[in-house]
Amino acid sequence: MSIFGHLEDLPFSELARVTQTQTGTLFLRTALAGRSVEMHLQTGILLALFVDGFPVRDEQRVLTIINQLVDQGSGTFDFQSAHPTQLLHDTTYWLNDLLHRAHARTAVPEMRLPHPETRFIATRRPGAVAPELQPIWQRVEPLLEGGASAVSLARQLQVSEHQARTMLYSLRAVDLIAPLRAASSATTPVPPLDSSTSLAVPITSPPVSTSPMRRLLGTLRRLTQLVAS
Amino acid sequence: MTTTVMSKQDTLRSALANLRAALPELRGALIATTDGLPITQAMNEGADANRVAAMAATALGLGKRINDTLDSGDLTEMSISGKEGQVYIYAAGRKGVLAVVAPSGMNLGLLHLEARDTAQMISEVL
Amino acid sequence: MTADLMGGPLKLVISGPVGAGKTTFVQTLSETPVIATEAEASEDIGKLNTTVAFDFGTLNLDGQELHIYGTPGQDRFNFMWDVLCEGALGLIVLVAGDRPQDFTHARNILEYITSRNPIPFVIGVTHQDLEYVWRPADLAVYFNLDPLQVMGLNATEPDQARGLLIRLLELTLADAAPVQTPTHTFSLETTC
Repeated sequence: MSIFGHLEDLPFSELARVTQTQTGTLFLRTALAGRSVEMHLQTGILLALFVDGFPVRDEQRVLTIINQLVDQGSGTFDFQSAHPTQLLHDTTYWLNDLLHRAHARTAVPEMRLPHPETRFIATRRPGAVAPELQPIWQRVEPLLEGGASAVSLARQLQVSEHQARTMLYSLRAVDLIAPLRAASSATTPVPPLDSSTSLAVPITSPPVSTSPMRRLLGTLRRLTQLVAS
Repeated sequence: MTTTVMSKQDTLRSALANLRAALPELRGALIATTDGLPITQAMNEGADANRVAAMAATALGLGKRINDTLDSGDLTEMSISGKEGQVYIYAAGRKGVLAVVAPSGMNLGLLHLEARDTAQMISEVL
Repeated sequence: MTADLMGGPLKLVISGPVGAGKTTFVQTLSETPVIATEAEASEDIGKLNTTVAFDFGTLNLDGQELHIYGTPGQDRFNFMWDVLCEGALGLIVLVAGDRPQDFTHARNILEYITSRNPIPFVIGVTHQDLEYVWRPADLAVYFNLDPLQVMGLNATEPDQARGLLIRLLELTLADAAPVQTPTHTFSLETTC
């Protein structure tokens, strides 16, 4: 078992993102006021949903469950990989779509908010902004050029630093913004998962001259006696 | 006759209050754990006690390491001086740190006398 | 080909949440005894001591000196992260794969440091020898990073520790000279 934890530490919205590439069953032991939730997932598609063992198929009810998981989900979770043929096929919903329609109403714990000085820029994610996020997006988007932090937003928008951090958190949760790496230029943020980048990851231009590093690399390889793959 | 037993917090708080009363020009005084958490503080307004506690612990940790390497015995105190003020950091027992923030031009002899006494008292409490 | 002179020491920074294995990693990688600046932990962090300034180790490879600095993990010491990252060739952020409760913190550390310092980085997922542990590929999704940038390791194994450093150098150099794509990539992913 290699995807496990507590929803208090890894909120459902982020857990769902991690399972996007996986196929199997996600079991949330006491997620909804003690009731268990079981999801059959195939690379981002919700194939079946059970609450306390009872199937949920109706779209509105499914959306409500997802909403509740995002809002108040708690307790342990674990994910078991499975072959698609081992999964039940009750429904076909894009989990991502359900998530974008859900929105968190409860306050986000402080430790999950980004650092006040972490700077964010707009990603190139296409698509509409959820209606609940429109007011925030309209205020924040013009200020993202060159990177905006909670500290700078608080000043420019005349809101508290905590409010600014919460705004950035909710925008990042739907991939509208991403942290700015000081190393890369302002127009190349961390690439989203679906882009087909291979080794050309914009890590950075190293500030150190490269020949000592190449030598170091060569020596390390010899020392570790690699087998070329 | 009843005797009031002071809690550790109260003892430490009054130790800092006495230190500040003895040295009114001080900008602040703070007692922290050696891993950088503030225990009691009497800092001037605007000072970030959490920040000072962590930095004092870092400085003391480094100072202890340097001292060990040079065989100078147990670290007692260290100072960081700027053009407009100084910070004096005293070991307070095995687990405590006393940080004293002073403006320039203070009577250092008096400061050290009072501060070392306070550090000694803290070490007995912690 | 220009004649290269042996320059000064290169610098590597290891950061990450408390308990990720930073001090262990520095000890594994270092040839010289590690200079640690630890203090007794007053909080329950699962161990007796915690780093308050930095851990310092060195590695000398064919005359090239590498200085390795392990940072403290708690947020209150974040002023040290900036100090230590100055002029470093790269950053390794370690996170314990069996501690999902620390993932957010690891991400915050990574983002704090990299948004203020133009420094290349990789993520090392430790405790891979445990039965219940997150795999690097899934953490790459969590961090929204290329999977090559997230590698699993046991911080006590010298080959694996060096493997993580090799990956950091390979990715950094590949980016610096895009025409020279490496012909092979070192991989120590443990299969589950």
